[in-house]
Amino acid sequence: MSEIAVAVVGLRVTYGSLSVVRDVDFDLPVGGALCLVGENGAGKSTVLRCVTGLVEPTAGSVRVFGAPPDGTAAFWRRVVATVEQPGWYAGLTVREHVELVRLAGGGDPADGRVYDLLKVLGLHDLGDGTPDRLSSGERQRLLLAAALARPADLLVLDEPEQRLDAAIRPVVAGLLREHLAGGGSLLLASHDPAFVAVLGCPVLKLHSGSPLPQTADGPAPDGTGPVGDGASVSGGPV
Amino acid sequence: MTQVVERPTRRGSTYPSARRLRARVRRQRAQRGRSLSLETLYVLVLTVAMAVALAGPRLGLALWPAQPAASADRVAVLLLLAGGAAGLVLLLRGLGPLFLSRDELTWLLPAPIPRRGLLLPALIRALTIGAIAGSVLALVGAARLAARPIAGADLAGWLSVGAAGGVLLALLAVAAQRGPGYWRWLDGSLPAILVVLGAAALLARVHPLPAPAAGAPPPLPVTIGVVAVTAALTALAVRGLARLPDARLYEPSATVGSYLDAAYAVEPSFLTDLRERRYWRRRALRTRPLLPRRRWLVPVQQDLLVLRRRGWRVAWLLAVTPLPALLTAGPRWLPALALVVGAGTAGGVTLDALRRDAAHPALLRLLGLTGRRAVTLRSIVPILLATVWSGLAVALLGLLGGLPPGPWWALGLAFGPTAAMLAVRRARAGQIDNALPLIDTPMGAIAPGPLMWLTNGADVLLFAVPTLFALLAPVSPAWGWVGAQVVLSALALAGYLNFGVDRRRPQV
Repeated sequence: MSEIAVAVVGLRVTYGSLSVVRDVDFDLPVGGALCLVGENGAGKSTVLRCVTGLVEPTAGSVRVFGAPPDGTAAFWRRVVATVEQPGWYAGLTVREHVELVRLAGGGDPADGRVYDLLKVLGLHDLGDGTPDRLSSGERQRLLLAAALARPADLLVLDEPEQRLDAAIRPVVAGLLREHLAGGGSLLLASHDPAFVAVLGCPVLKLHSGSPLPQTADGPAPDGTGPVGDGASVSGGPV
Repeated sequence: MTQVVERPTRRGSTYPSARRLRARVRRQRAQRGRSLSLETLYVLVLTVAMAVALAGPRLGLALWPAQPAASADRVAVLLLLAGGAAGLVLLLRGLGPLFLSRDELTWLLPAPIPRRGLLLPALIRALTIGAIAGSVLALVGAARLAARPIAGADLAGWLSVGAAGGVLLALLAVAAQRGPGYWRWLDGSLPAILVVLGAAALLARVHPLPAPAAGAPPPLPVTIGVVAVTAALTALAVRGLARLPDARLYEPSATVGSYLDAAYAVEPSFLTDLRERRYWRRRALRTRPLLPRRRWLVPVQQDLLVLRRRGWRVAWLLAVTPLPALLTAGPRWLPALALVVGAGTAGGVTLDALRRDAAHPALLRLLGLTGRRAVTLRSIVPILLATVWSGLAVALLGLLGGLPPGPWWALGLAFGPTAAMLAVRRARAGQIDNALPLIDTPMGAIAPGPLMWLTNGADVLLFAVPTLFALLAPVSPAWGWVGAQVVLSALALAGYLNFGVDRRRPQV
């Protein structure tokens, strides 16, 4: 049996009388990928926040690499998440932000990896600019560059394709495939079926907080892709 | 079927004036209900009445003392007036001085209506501020420099010249807004002028400068001439309003809007954020390499980079180190307050990163640093800056402030880390907590959030007792005092970094 990166059992999140996530279960093995899909308000981001320990579940359990997501620095050295917009450091350029993350993650900021990342994500010419001056799409590219600039056992990405133009989305998908090929795990939420298809990862469709039941010969009829190897999912009733 | 989309704009269309549109908005708002309720009006009137009753007599005496200034103090009065005039231009430049409200910026500025009418109220507002400030400066000057008694007509002459001078300064600020490239020297030179004036005032304390004689009132032709020139230049400025580029209105309007938001929401952290953004937006940066061998010092490397880029800020801070010494002429607590504020400000030069980490810890998680490590490392540069600043300031206080002899410089150096801790605590304060329960007092219920925000970190000053007591008493500080301050500063640092921050999680 392969080691489990993320194990979610009977996850339930309630805000007052509003049930945001209901009975979500899935296992993500180490080196595997899983994409959460569903309409706005389906609870995708909340599940990702529970996995990263930023939201406490009302019921159920979440374990990341066999332990609850405790939000310690040791946890964040293994997990990289883009489930919230960061506040960029004033007075630092785009390139310096990425280099800072790479250096803090134990890498060498001058080994060419930062250069390559900025190049493929179309940020190379903006390296001396500040994040405040970037467009929203460019800021999303910067966030992804920072997330990918350091080693991570698990990437948790909330709609990584959002605000990106059509040309750059396959590039991002390629970078995420590289992460998987290197043995990393990936948990993401997405609204773009084409992006998920390029990524070729299993999907779990959420509907109003709970997973849609699986049909006999495949996933819920959402057209986003097959539930394949790499993740086992199950859900309660809608 | 009726055509829904309007035809393309036709030439020769007539457009309504801004005045007409504003009147329409006012009328429609009035129909919805009065914007100023009787209750609000009552609170406003009561507030003003209480402020006048409490501060009125003291303010009146400050504006118009019983006796004019002694001849030795006249130079200081002149320097103060010049500083006031420079400060007025700085204030007006900070406001724009021409700005529109947010709704007018959105709805009226893009409308094809005559610009002059749209911007005239903004110009009148700027000139009114200039005229009032100029009159106050003239009143302060006349009360201290003019020969007593002063006839009513003479006072009117002083006030007219002062008001006209204030309007001229406001017109200068308006001209600077129209052509910021051409007038950039104004923004650059005003703080320098203020520093030179401060240095001159300091020099006057050490080496008496020649005192001017009691001033005669301005002759009538001069008054008429100044007022006429001001009127002519105002007319030219009104004419030039039509040529003011819209782009020059956006930033001041957004800035003033944010000031009003901060005042309305009682949230000063908006202003800090706004100031930082404005500062860095104007700067062209060039990426500098980080040192791979100093990985564990990542936040320090970042702070040093920011410090290097804020060279001018550091230079200004060094230039104002004589400020506590200058203020020894006032109440005894004033130099001590200037020392605490100055050293705290010096310590805060690089603390914006900590402020952002406290507000949005996402980057800190990406960096994988614990709160304790981040705060410890981000305190290094503030401690150095605050220590250097307070060392210099207290040394100057000891030399020029008329204090008893003693190792003041060493006491200042020992006080620095405590001031840095104060700055670090302030940086982590975040936003005001308005969710706290109201406290009932005999004067009515008060919200404790703003008060707690204001006093956040003030308890650190308990660790500065030797320095503050030596300044307030004042007594000669022996080396034992310095030793006590060193121990207390070390205790403040160790206690805070051990017990005041998160040791496990990346949050500050």
